Amino acid sequence: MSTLISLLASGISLGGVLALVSVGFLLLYKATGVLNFAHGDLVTLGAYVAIWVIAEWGLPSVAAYALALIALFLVGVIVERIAYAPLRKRPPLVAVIATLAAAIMIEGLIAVWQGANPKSLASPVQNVIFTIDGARIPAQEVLIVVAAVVVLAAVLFVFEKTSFGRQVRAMAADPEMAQLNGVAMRTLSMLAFGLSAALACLAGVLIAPLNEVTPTFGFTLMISGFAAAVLGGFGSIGGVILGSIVVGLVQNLLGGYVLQGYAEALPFILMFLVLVVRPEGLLVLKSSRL
Amino acid sequence: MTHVRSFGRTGRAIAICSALALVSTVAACGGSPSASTTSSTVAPASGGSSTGFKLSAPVKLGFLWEIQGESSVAVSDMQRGATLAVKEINAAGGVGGHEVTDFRQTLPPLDLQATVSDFLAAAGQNPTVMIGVPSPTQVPALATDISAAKIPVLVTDIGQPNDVNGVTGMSPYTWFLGNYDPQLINAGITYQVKDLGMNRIGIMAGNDSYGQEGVTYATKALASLGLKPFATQQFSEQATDLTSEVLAMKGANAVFNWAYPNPVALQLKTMYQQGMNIPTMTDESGSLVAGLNLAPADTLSKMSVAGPCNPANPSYSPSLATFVKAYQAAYQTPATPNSTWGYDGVYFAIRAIEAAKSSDPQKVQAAIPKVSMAAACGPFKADGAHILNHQATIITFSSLTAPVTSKVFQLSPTPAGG
Repeated sequence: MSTLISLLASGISLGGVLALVSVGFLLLYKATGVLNFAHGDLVTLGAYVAIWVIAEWGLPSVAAYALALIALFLVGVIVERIAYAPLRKRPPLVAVIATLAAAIMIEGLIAVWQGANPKSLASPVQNVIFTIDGARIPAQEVLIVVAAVVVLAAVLFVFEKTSFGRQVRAMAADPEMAQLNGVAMRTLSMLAFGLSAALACLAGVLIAPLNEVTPTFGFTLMISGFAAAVLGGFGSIGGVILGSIVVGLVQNLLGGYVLQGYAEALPFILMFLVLVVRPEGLLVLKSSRL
Repeated sequence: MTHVRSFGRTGRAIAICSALALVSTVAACGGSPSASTTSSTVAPASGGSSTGFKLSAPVKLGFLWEIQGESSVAVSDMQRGATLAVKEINAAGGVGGHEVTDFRQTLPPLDLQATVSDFLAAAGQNPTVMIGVPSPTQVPALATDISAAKIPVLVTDIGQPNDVNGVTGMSPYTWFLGNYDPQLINAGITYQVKDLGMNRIGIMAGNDSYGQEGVTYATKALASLGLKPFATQQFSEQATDLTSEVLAMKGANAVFNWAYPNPVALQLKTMYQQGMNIPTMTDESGSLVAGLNLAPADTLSKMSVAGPCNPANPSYSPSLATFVKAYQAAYQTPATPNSTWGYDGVYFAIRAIEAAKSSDPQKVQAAIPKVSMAAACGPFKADGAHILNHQATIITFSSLTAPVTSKVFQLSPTPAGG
C-alpha cells in the first residue's frame, strides 16, 4: 500500500508539472498559432536563473523563484520580438522553425554560461517529508500540486473572466476578425509569449529540486507535456490538464508496477492508442476555445 | 572470469618504497615522478637526449577534446593535465633534442559528423600521437579513420566491450588510457560483497548500452560470488523521476548503480526521500555528484565509487600525489581523474616515442606494447585489448572534502576481444 501511495503522489505531482508546461504550450499556440519548440529550454532556463540568483546574490529560494519568473517573462517577450514578430506574416511553419533555432541558441547559451555539469536547485521545503500510511512523500511534491492548482485556476479565471482572456480567445477563434475589432495583436502576442515562458519557468523551478538541472533538463518535460496536450485534446485548458494528470499517473503507476524500465515511453504509447480511438483527444469542446 | 586481486599490505609497502626510491632518483635527474620506472628518460636541461637518439624535427602531439560546450566531457581538465606534462617534459629538455609541441582539435561528442571531419583535420597536421576522443560513441565512429590515418590514438576514456571485442572493428591504432569497464564493475561488486558484507544487492542502470553492460557484468560478478541481484531496474538516462525504481530496491542492503551523474544523483535523492539508508556503489559519476553536492550529505557518505584513481586524496600513491601537487600549483584548482588522463597520456606517448627512438607514428605504434610506466593514475602497460590502466580504486565519501581510497585493486590484463 505504501508503494501505491508513493507512486500516486509522484504521478500526480508529475502531472501538475506537465500541466504547467502544456498549458503554457497551448496558450501560446492558441494566441499565435505557433508551436514553440523553445518551450522546453525555457523550462531549463528558468531553473538555471533561479540557481544563479541563489548562488550569486544569496537570496532565499522563494525570492529566487520570483525573480526567475520575472526574468523568463521578459525572455518570452524577447523571443517573441526576435523569433515571431518579424515572421508574423509568413506561414506558421516558418515561425516554428525560428522557435527551434531559438531553442538551440538558448541551450547553447546556457551551456556557455553555466557549463554542462549538473546543478542542484534549493527548495523552501528541502528535505521535508510527509508520511502517509507508511509512504514517504516529499513536501516538494505537495508544493508542486498546490502551486499547479493555484496557478492553473488563476489562468482559467484570467481566460474566462478578464478582458485579456477574451481577447486571446478572440485571437484564437479568428485572428483577422479580432484585429478588425481592435484587439492589439502585437501587445497580446508579447503578453502571450511572456506568460507562456513564465509558466515554463514555474514548472522548471518546481520540479528542479527533485532532479538535477542540466542544459537538456527541460526537453523531456516539453515532449511529455506535448504528449499530454495531444492526449487531452489540443483545444482546451481542461483537456490539457486532464491529459497531463493521465500521463503522470500512467508513467508512474504502469511504469512502476508493470513495464519497469520503459516508463518514459508509456505516455507516447498511450497517446497513440487514444488517438486511434478518439483522434480529437480525451476532452475537446466542439468550438475551438480556451 | 576476470581475476581481481586486492593490493595486500606487504605489496603496498614494497610499491611505496619503490616509488619513493624512484622519486629520489628521478628528482636528481630533474625529471617527473610519473616517468617510466625503467630509467630516467627525460632529456636534461642542456637539450641533449638522455636516451641517445636525436629527432630531425620536434615531436607533435595532437589533443582531441573540447574544453567548453554542452557535452559533459567538454571540460578543461584534460587540457590542463596535458599542458602540465608538456611543460614538465620541455623544462627537462624535451625529447630527441627538441621541445615537444602540441595542438588541440575540438572533437564535439554530440556531433559525430563533425567528429569525423575534425579528426581528419587533426590527422592532417601529422602528429606522432593523438590523445583524446573522450566520448564512448566517438571511438567506434572514428575506427575507420583512425586506421586510415595510421596514427596511434590514446583514448581518454574507459575501454568498453564494444570497443575491444573486435566485432565492431575497433582500430588497432586505438589504445585506452582508462580501465576496462567490466573490471571496474567487478571490483565494485567485490568490494560491496567482501568488504562491506552485503548480500542483497540491487542493480540499477541506464537503459542504454553503457547501462546494459553495467547490468550484465554486475550480474556476472555477483554470480561469481554465489549471489543473484536482489532486483534489477533500468531507466532512461533522461528520467526525471526514479520513485518506482528506487522503491523496487526496498529490502536490499546495497545498491549498485552504473549510470551517468544525473540518474545517480536522482537515485540518491529519492532514496533519501524514501528513508532508504543503504550504501550505493557507482562509477566515476559518483565523484561528480559528491563534488557538486548534488545529493543529501547522508546519502553521499554511504556512496562508493569504483574508478581509476583518487586525485582528491592521493595519499595512497606517491606518483599521484606529486602530480596533484604540481597541478594545484599550476592551476590553483584541484586535480580530477580527467586531468590525470591528459597528463598520463602525454607521458605515455613520450615513453613510446623514446622506446621507438623515432617520431614515425607507425614505429611508435609498434613500440607501445613494450612500454611500462608508473603513471599518476596507476601502472600503465598495454594488454591484448589495448587497455593501459590496470588499477582500480574504491573511493568512499565519509568526508566530502577528502574522499578516502578504501581499496586498491590490481587488475589482470585483458586479452584481445575482451
